[in-house]
Amino acid sequence: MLKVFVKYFATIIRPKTLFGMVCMMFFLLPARAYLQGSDQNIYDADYPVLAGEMVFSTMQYSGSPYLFNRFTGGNVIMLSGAEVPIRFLRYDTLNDELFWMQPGEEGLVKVDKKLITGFHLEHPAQDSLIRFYRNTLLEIDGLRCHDCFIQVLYEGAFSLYARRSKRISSRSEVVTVGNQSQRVRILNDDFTYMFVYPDGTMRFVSPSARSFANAVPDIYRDLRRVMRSNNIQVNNDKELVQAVRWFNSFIEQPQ
Amino acid sequence: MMLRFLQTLNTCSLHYKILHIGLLLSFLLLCNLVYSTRHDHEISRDSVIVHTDRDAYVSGEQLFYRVALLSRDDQHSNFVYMALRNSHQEIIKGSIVPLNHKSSYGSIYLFDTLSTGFYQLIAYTGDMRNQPEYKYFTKLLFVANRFDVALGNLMELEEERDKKYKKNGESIIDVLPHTIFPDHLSVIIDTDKEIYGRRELVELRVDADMPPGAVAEMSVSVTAKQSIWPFLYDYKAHGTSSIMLNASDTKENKLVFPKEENGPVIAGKLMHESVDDYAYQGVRVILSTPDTITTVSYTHTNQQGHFFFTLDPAYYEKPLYLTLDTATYEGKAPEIYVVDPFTFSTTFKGYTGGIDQEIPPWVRESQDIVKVQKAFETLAGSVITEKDDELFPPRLYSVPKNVIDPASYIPLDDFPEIAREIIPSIRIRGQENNWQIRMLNGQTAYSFFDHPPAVFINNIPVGNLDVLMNFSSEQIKSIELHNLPWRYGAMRFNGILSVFTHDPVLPVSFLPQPFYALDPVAVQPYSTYVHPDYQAIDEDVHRIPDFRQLLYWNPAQTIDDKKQFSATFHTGDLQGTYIILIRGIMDTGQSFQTFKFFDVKQ
Repeated sequence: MLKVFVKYFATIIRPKTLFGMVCMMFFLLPARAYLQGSDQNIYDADYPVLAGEMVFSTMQYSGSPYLFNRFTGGNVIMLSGAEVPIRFLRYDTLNDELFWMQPGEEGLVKVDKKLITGFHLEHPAQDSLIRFYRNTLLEIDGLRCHDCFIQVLYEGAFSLYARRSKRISSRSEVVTVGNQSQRVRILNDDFTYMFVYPDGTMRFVSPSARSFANAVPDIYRDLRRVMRSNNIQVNNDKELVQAVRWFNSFIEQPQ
Repeated sequence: MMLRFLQTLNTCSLHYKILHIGLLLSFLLLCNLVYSTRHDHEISRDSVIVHTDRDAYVSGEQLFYRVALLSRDDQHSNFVYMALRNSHQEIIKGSIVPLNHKSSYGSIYLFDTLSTGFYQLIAYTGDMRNQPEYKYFTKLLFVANRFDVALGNLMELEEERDKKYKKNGESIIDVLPHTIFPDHLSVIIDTDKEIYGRRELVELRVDADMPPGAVAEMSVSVTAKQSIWPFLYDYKAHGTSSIMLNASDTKENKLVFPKEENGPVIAGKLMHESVDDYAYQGVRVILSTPDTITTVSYTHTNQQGHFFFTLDPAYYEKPLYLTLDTATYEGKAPEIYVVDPFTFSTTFKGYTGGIDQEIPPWVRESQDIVKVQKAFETLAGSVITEKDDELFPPRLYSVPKNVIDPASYIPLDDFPEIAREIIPSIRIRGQENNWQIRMLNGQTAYSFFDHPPAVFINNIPVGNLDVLMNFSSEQIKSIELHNLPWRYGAMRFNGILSVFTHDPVLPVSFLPQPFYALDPVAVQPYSTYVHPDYQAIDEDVHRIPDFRQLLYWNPAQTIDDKKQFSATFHTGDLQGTYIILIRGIMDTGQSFQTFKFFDVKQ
């Protein structure tokens, strides 16, 4: 029977194809066995163990209140330091809230932020994690930032943090969703950068060379000169981070 | 057979060759996978070793130990179960020892009420419970009750004195511990003197000759020679059963205990009242403990109907209650069954090998010494327990939306009246045995949730609302209302009502059925022995007697490339011969042991 089957098989399938089929069978078996063996916690693994309020509707604005336009993966850092991986995470910069979505379920869950110390968010366009922590220590005058999430841009002897926020503008425009049109307020980015000294005090900086050098008034002139000689430019937040990194290595160098 | 297979293969066409080889490889792979998936959890490669400071104790003393895990796996257990049982098979003390880098140290208080006799110290990891019990670590110990002057158990053994030792003309207490060294290792113990006076400083130096890069971890015990009983070491004190721990009971025989890396695991299963093999799959099991905050912890049963709770440190040393989420199963409620990790299928027979006539007098002397030591415990050898880390209980919410303090209002007779008068966001209808609670949705402020809220009394879920309804405002300390659609992992809540009382309320009176009450899980803290330093102590203290039999105990000494270490300690007021006993493990997993004697005279 087998001989007849193989002879018939040989007439329709070439040896290379047969070899490929056998190889595929060989490699699929372990995958099948693995799936059978990992059923121990299929129910628990689907749901990140986080507490939060279920939210079914949010205010409408022109522009997204979120940091990114779509959900991305990430980790939530619990008070214990444990990291909870989440597939669908989104940071609402307008309300300073972290949202988690459960696939196949209605609504979002607003994470109880006092039960976490921060979160890491995957950048949708880059292969990097953006780190936020909940501010409970830093005294930030003029910025209502107790318990707000602060992005860690650089951590060293001199650190750089950013508050990613949105401001509701006084201007409004008409937005049409489906058949409904609605006049809504416009959201604008409102980012604040904080340069933190080794003693824990901080000063606001903006992405400009003058503002950055002003953060260290004692060596303002020298710093501007060295920055020029080293071709250190500060025109955006990426360059600001590079400048702080450079400044940390510059300070460590023997004078 | 292989030759025949190859001959056949040679005569085949290319198609046959590929098909034959493919089928053979697939068959071999399948056999391997089936075998490995069946036995992966059952075959633990872990083993545990425990060193104790002594072999013979008096009740009321501390037993100091060092636990070491020998594991070849990168992902190994981080918890060891340790039990002390008597010859009546009673577990005197069952506790869990957390490991740090595969080792731990601490002490067990030997209760004053322990009867005189031989005890068995048993140690194993969670996944070793899938193995036969003979693979567990066991050690035979002797404990004399402090007030048992007759020492009946010991006198019986003396009458059956071991003929072997008598025939050789040596005393059983003169039997020395073995000196054990693996290849390429030798350890030399040296002291600055051979004979010391009372309260004199002893300078101990240990030199190891071992290959470069080797690391040895050891315990060092300096104790009265009579408290080390080497004749117990090779004695087989337990039954020769090779049955698996969980095979003795049909309820447990299918449970496969996991490796406990992040916490001790509570393992159990849900059982049908009439169908033995019925598997309650995907049922949510909830763990609760009485507390002053609202917490929740849950797991789900797997395809076999088994559940495994990795215990958070916030649940250690507390009474625990397991309940089921009724929304996750259909039909009649299953029975919850939890495996006791301190149940053994083998029996402990005690020691019947006979003892020397010199032992009972020495034990009596030790009893007297411990009585004196008890009176002056503050000085001579104390235990320092290391502080626990900060706890992070799994809180259901950080801050409740509303907190009501009934003491701020006039006294109210029962909970329906409290709700009516001071909790506008709650509506209670019904009567005894049929209460209905609805909570106003805080997101809308005008509509009630379709389903009742989760109700807790002192952090325990409530099944019988009658208990809550009978609370007067004077019994209640605070009422937390969290009237939001809430989520905790896979659990959804239509609001949460959490009531805290001034006095404890027995949870069994209101827990939802079915429930399972668990004894607190005892987790041993790290603790060390502190010996007095007479060079630093005030002169007045010198008048207090120091009858320590344990002069020095160092459970965590490492020797690496320096190949030596030194230590100092003081002798006490007791004359006699003392033994410096070093037992350790190389990084290769090989054990070693060596000793040295010295004398203390006036």
